[in-house]
Amino acid sequence: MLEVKNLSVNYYVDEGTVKAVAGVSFDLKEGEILGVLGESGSGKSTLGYALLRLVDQPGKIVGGEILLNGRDLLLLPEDELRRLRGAKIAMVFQDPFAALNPVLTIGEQIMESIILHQRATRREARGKAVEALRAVKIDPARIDDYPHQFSGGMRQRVVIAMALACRPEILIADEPTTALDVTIQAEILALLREIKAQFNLSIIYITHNFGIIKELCDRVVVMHKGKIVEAGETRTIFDHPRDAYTKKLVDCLRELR
Amino acid sequence: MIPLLLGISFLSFLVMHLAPGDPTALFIDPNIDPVELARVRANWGLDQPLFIQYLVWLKNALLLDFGRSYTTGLPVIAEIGERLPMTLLLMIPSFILTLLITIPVGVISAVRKNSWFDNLFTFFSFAGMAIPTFWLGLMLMLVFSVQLHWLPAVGNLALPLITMTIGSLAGLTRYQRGAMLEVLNQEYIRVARAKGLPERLVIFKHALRNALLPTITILGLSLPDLFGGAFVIETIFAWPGMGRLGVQAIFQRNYPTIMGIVMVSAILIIVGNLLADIAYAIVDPRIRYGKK
Amino acid sequence: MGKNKAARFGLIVMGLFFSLAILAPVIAPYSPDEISSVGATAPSSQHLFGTDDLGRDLLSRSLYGAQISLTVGIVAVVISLLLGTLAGAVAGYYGGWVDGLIMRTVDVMFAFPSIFLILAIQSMLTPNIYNVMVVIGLTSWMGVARLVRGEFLRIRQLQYVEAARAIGCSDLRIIFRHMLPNAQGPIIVAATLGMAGAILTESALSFLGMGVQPPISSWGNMLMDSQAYMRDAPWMAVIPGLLIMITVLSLYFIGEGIRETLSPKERNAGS
Repeated sequence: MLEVKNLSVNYYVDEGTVKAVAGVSFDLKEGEILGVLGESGSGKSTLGYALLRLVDQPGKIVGGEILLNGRDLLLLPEDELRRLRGAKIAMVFQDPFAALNPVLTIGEQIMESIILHQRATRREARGKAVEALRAVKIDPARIDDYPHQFSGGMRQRVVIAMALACRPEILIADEPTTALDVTIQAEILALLREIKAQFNLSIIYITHNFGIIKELCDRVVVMHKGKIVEAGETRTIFDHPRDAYTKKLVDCLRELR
Repeated sequence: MIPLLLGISFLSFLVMHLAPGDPTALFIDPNIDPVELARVRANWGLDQPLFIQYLVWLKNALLLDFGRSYTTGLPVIAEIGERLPMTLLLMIPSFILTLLITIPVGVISAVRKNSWFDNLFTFFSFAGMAIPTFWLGLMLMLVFSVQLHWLPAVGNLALPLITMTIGSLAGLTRYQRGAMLEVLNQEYIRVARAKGLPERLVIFKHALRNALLPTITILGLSLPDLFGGAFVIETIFAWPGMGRLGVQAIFQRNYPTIMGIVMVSAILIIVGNLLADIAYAIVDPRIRYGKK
Repeated sequence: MGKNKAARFGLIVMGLFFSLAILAPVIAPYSPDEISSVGATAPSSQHLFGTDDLGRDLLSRSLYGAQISLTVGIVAVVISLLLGTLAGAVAGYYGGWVDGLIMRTVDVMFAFPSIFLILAIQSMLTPNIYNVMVVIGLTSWMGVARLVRGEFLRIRQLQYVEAARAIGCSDLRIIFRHMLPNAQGPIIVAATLGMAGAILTESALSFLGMGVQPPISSWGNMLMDSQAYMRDAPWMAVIPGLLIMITVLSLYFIGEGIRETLSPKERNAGS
């Protein structure tokens, strides 16, 4: 359902041009969880942002195609793209402490995309926000609370609720558990599995943690310095890594075990 | 708050009375009979030790009785009462004007960073910060009163108001721009865009409210400077406000008046800061609802 | 910092002004008190900046005025830096009631319109350049104190301070050898801004008659004289103010340039 062909993103900094993403191609099948594995600097987060055309200065998408059900997202006019963001493709961000606006209630932040994309009234939107909160196991009574009143793990659930609010088809999760404790991490992963089933999502999970990929993802692409060095079923990659870099990552994981 | 006021009053009192000589020298015939002089000094309470004088002053000050002016003999509080509205007439519209201009300019400058708008206004801010306020007043007077005869130099609110506003605008605009830029760099702004929100909503609903917070803080902190500016501007334009009275009083060593003005200014500044704190709490829910 | 055009401009101008001020006795066409014309004359080839109401050459007076302004700027800022750094370092390092006491004092002094305080103090004394410098220094240390205290609070948490303590370094040694050098960036920026502020304050004081006294020419008191002649000799008012403005602006640019150089690199290319 999502096909990425030859995507390239450059960053133009004082020291020169950095090819954060260099000619990356992969696809996301309906109903699967695809992992994007890479270390810091591999370009994986940039890839995630690029899928929504959210690459900020000094970055720029310089080539390739992103085909969502056949339509190239890179060619869409801005306002059409905006209609897709949040509604068809949603994103869950890495840092739950930074991803929520401190001066707005969580209810407001969930409702606004519902109001926007589904032209709902405030009352309708509120109802749907309550559903979203229930889906992520947060007491709906807290809908009028502010982000600072929640713990890190709960904030991340709110971010997930925000992403789910308009029932998107695709969820891009950019290292959603990196900033959280290991126990909370497990909860969030379990939650993601649940909502995938419940809402029929396809998920792209970006992380540097092979362990998570093994647990969660059906297939995985491995990124190194902006390129995909290996791709395939998680099981296969783990048992028989072909690329040298992938081998290193797998070995690290085995050693820790 | 109270300790602050006490601190300010004591500090001022100390400064006033540390000077060699005393106020009697200003309006007493130097050949006066020493006995007579002693009587006058006793009358004014000047023969008491400094600390006692301070306590006496403090006792009266609590009832807002700041004594009588050395020069006119009128109750200080009455004179201040007459002049204060004129000063407020200058400061409050200036404050409002400053806000009305600073926020939009700061926001647009940040959103359209490095555009012609941003560069132009950044230039103006720097220029405005570097201009000595009193000189700005003189130049405006020169251009608009002396050369063009559009506005009268004294008695009219326009020139002092413009001078005052430009003075505060400059630094604040720059600050607002900086605050806005910082907010725009925050993750939750990217999140808002990822939700597909139109840019207008991102800026005004998400960004601006957060950017206002540091601005409110700075506004509170800039109040003393605002008063200082008012004093100088009133003097240049002969504006009959509290500031002008204060500057004159300083030249005349008119202690009661000086103390009165210092205290009234201090109270106003503190009230202003309180209002700023309240405004901050309104905008920032983290202050209103502590951590659960 | 060479990248920043404004900062470069600032440095060039300040360099120029400093040189001119130092060389004033050599390059000034006239002595600042010399009456070389009949009354106020407009700028001409003989008098590049014109003359004032007493017939004194304004270019020469401005050059000597530069000496005053720059000297006051430097001395005042050094005083405020010394006081402020000391206060801030002690407050930040020791914390507790020392910190509380110092910061309360800072709060009280901040709540004053400083111009008023300075005017009051000056009115007690016989205003001259020396007490102007000292008084300005004594009333502008608070910002530096807050800054240094903040830096110290931040640095105090860092590991190497713990390490130094563990080895048994004395407090003084820790403050001076370990912590201060790391706070120097913001302090330098504060110095440029402080100097700019001191120059502005001195000119305001002299303008009101409570600063540098005539016949010594300060840009501020030149403006005081100019008030009565706004209609007939506007150049008397325009030139000194412009000079103040350019000086202050240059200092701001330098300060901004230093600040930009010090700030950590923007986020690098993402992962």
